[in-house]
Amino acid sequence: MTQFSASMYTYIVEAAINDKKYEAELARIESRLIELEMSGRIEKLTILKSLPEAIKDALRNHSETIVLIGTDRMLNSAMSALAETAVTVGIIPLGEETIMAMTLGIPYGVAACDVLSARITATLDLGKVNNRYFLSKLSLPECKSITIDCDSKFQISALSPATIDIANFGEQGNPRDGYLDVIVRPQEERRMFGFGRRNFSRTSVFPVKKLTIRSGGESMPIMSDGETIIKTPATVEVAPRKLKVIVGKQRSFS
Amino acid sequence: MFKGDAASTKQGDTVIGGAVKVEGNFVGEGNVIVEGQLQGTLKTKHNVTIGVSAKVKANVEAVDVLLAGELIGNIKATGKLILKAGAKLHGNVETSMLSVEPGAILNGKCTMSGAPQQQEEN
Repeated sequence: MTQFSASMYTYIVEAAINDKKYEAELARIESRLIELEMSGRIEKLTILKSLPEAIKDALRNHSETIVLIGTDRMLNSAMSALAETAVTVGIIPLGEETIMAMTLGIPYGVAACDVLSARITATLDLGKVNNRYFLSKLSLPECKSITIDCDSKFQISALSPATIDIANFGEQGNPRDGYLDVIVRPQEERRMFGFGRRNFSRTSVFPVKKLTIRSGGESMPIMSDGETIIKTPATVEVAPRKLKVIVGKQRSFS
Repeated sequence: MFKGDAASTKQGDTVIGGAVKVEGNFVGEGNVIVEGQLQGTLKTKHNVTIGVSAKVKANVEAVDVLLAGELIGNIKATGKLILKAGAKLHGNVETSMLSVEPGAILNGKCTMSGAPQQQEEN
């Protein structure tokens, strides 16, 4: 742990970034933050220090801004700990997968420091599944007999095997519209005679505020960032304007 | 119009694709495109497009309605109603402007209420 003088900012570095290949970029980031007079407490996550603990420590130290340095996975993992707070969240994307940061208009690596310095903020919706928050989306791969009850008004049933995403933000969805998008993608079917595959039906999209997912027969996994976080049945809803985030001018939403 | 995919729709639009069945009272905020199955009611303050492969058993209320597939139910279109060639409508119609292409089937009562409601300009 490196201690700087100011406590307004806390920087939390994802465990996977504590790798030699990111050392030089991390050093550039630290230098740039000092130049911008934005230095603060830096916490590097380890086996002994989890992300929720680091966030709790930052809040205990009255940090006004918590900056997450790492990947999309770190950002999603931090949501439940950050959603109920008034803290402003900054992001410095570093590592393998940083699509969400790009969608927020934040450039990769040291260039993100200047976006933090400009401090344009947006208050974003989050998704909530059985009391757990997410920023981007949930996925149900290979659904066969699934029913989604939407806003207690109508039901969606997939007539053929499909993958289902419940998106707040990312490739699809606007994190400021007060809706989650239920996206049903029919799986490709193989042609009996001939080569390749064809998509036999169009993708369905439903903007909804609250939904309950039920699977006929056995329980099905609901995934976030490639990990199963919960199983069906599950209730998912939008939590409007829940997270204050520093964004860039190049963000994908208004 | 019916050949695009979800990417060609606008944010907030609803797309009921061919591999999906929707039952209940659907109230949309944006445009609604139906290419799958729908039973119940469908209401939106924007436009509805019912594609060639769609099977709809519902009362529909919208501004403009374009029907190319099959619908059993009543349509109330405050703007215009377009029945494309091959469309099958079994139900009553209430609209301001009606266009029926040759080959479309309309079995029901049609009530025309004059010019479509225009937005007032300040």
